[in-house]
Order: sequence, then C-alpha cells, then structure tokens
Amino acid sequence: MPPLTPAVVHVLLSLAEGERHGYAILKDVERQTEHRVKLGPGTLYGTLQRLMELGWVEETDGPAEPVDQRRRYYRLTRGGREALRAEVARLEAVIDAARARRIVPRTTRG
Amino acid sequence: MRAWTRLETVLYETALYLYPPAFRREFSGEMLRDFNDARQEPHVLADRRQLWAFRGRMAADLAKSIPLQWGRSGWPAIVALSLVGPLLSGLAARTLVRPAHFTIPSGTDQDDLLAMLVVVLLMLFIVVATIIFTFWFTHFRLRRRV
Repeated sequence: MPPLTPAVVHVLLSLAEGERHGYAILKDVERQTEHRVKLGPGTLYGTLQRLMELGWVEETDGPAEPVDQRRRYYRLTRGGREALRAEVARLEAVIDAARARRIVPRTTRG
Repeated sequence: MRAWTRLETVLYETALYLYPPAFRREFSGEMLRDFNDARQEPHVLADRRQLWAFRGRMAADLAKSIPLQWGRSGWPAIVALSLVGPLLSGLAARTLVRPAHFTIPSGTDQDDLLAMLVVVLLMLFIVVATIIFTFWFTHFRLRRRV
C-alpha cells in the first residue's frame, strides 16, 4: 500500500475516535496538529469521498440525538482502521530509521 | 459587517458551482455549512488579520480542490478519448482519399450537400464516441472502486 497523504491520515485519525460530521473533523484535525494543519472543506470532502470509495469510511445515521440534524456523519470501517494501523506502523519505521541515524534524538515519551 | 458575511457566503456558494456536478450534488450543502460555521468562529471574527487569513485559506482550498475534483471526475479522459476517434478517422480518411484522387463535385449545390454530409457524419461520430467512452469509463471506474 502506498503511503497515505497527510490529509487522509488526519481524517482517519479523527474518525478513529468515533463518528463525526465534517466540521467536527475539521476542528479535530486542527486540535490534533496544534493548528499547524487546517483543512478546507474542499480538501476534506474530496478526501472523504475517496475514503468512502475505498471502503475505509462510511456514512452513518449519526447519534440518536444529533446537535444538528442537517449534518452528515461519517465513521471508520474495519478496513479504514487497518489502513491507519499500517500507516502508523510505516511512520514508526521511518522514525526508528531516523533515530538510528541520529537525525532525531532518542526521546522517551511519558 | 453582516453584509460582508452575506457577500462572502454568496461568493463561496457561487464558487461551489465550479466543482463537477456529481461532487457538488453530494457535498456542496455540507461545504457551505462548514464555511459558514468556520466564518463565525470567534478567532476569525476577532481581528482583521485572522479574517484575511481565513479568506486566503478558503480561496486556496477552492483553487486546489476544484481542478483535483475535475481530474478525478473522469471528464478530461472522456473528452480526450472522444476526440481521438474523430481525429484518427479524419487522418485515415485523408490518407485514403489522397491516392484515390477524390474530386469534390464542382456544382455549388453538391458542395453544400457534401459539406453537410461531412459535418453530420463528424457530429454523429463524436456523439457515438462520447456515449461509448462515457459508458466504458463509468464501468471502469466502478470496477476500480471495488
């Protein structure tokens, strides 16, 4: 599987926590990246469309009592979770290689 | 300020018409809602610099995603493939006609008739090619999605 684009990774990560509507995904990506990545609606829905075509994301009916009924909700499928897991493993391998070459320090995370 | 907000919404809504029809039908409602929600965020309303940054971000997003969606829609390939058929036929006809010393009838009426025939045939060819390639491309894309 080829490496995923940053937008795809962030959207998958956001949906890994549970179903969300588009705007909630945009806000969550901003939070995840400490405002370094700000997706626009065009990029977000283009990404969601592609992910739905791949079967990694699916549309849901949303929560029982949605805040805004006009919103459309999306969630990660099992395939999407596996793809995300594979991408994280790939990124980990890249970071390990970088650490072995002392490009980034060997930090310990709490 | 409210007039500006309304104008921005109208502009964004108009820009959404630049997306391919299928994508627009599917997502334009959500996109407009997200745009309006983002426009009402306190940090965007806070100062003018943030507001311009927001406008720039939205414009960049449109500029990036519209061509991308058209590219993904398959229309460029359909148009290109539809043009290939008539062009190749034209080239083939030119090659075949030259050795046969095909002479165009001299009468004005016959010239018009011949020209009309060529135009009608060409149009028919384009229509048939478009139908065939649209059909083929749709199936190809559907198969690829699975």
